[in-house]
Amino acid sequence: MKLSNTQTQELYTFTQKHYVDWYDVQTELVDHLANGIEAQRAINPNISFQDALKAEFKKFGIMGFSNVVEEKTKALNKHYRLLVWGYFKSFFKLPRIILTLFLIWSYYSMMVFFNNIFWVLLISCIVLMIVPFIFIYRQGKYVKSIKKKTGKKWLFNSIIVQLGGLIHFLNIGIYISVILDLERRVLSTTALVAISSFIILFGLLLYISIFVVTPNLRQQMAKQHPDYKIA
Amino acid sequence: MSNSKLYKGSINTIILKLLNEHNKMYGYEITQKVKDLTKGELNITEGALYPALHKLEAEGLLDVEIAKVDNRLRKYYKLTENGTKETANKLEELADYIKTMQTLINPKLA
Repeated sequence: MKLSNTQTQELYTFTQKHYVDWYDVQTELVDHLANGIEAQRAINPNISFQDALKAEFKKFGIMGFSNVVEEKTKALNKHYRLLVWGYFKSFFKLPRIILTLFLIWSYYSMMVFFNNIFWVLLISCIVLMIVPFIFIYRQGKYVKSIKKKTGKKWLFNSIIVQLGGLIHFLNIGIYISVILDLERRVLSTTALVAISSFIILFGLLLYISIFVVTPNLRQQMAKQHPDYKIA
Repeated sequence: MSNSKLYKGSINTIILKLLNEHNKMYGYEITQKVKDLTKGELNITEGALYPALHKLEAEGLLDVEIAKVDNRLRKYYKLTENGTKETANKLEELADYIKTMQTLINPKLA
C-alpha cells in the first residue's frame, strides 16, 4: 500500500525533528523511508506506520541521519571547489591566459607608475574585502527570503554562502598585514610581479566563485530539483 | 555495509557497476538490488550508501535526476561519461585485487 500525502508530510517532519533542516536532503531520505515502510507493509499489512518508520530509521544506525547530512555537506563543498578549480584552470589556457597575463602586467605597471605600493595595495585589499562581504550579505538575505516564501531551506544555498568553504581562504584580511608590511621594504621587480600575480589570481578566484560558479550551481540545482525556482 | 569491513572499500565499485547495468537507480533500489543479487549475503547500510552516492556525484561521476513518483519526489542517479570510464577502471582494479589475493591465499589455483 502506497503512503498517503499526509504520511509523506509526516516523514518530512520526522527528518526535520532528526536535525535534517535542508529540503534537498530531506527529499531523498523521505523517499527512502517511504520505500522501506511500503515494503514492510507489503510483507506485514498489520504493521502501523509509526512502527514501520521506527524500524526503517533504525537501519540508519546510532548516528541517525547526521552522518548523511555531514557527508552530503562535505560532498557539496567539494563539488563547489571542483567547479571553481575547473574554471580557474581554464584561465591558464589560450586565449584567457593572455587576459590573465595582461591583468598581472597592468597591476604591476600601476604600482610602478604611482610609485606608491601602499596605497595601490590598500585600495585593492579594500575592494577584495568588500566584494565577498556584500556577496555574503546579499546571499544571506536571499536564503532568508526563500525560507520565508516557501518554508524551505536548501543545503546548496548554504554551501554557496560559504563559497564551498573557500570563504576562509578567500578572505584577504588573513593576508593584509603581510601585504601592507611589504611597503616598508625596497622591492625588486620579481617581488612586484609576485605581488601583482597574487592580487590578480586572488581576484580571479573570487570572481569565478561569486560570478561564475555560484549562478552555475544554482542553475544546476534548479534544473535538477523541480521544487526549486530561481527567484 | 554491515557484514564485513572487506566490502567497505568496494562500495563505490558496486554502485558504479549497478548503475552501468541499470541506466538509472535510486538509493533504496540500490540497497535492494545488492541484497537480491547476493541473496542477502551483502547488505549495504543506508549510512554508508548515501555518503558514497553523494561523493560520487560531487566528483562528477554521477548525474542526478529528480522525478515525481507515487506523489513524492525521487532522486535517481545515473553515470556520467566520466562515471562510465571510472567504472571500467574500478572493475579492472577489483579484478586485479582478487587475482592478487588468490595468488596469496591459494597459490595452486593462481
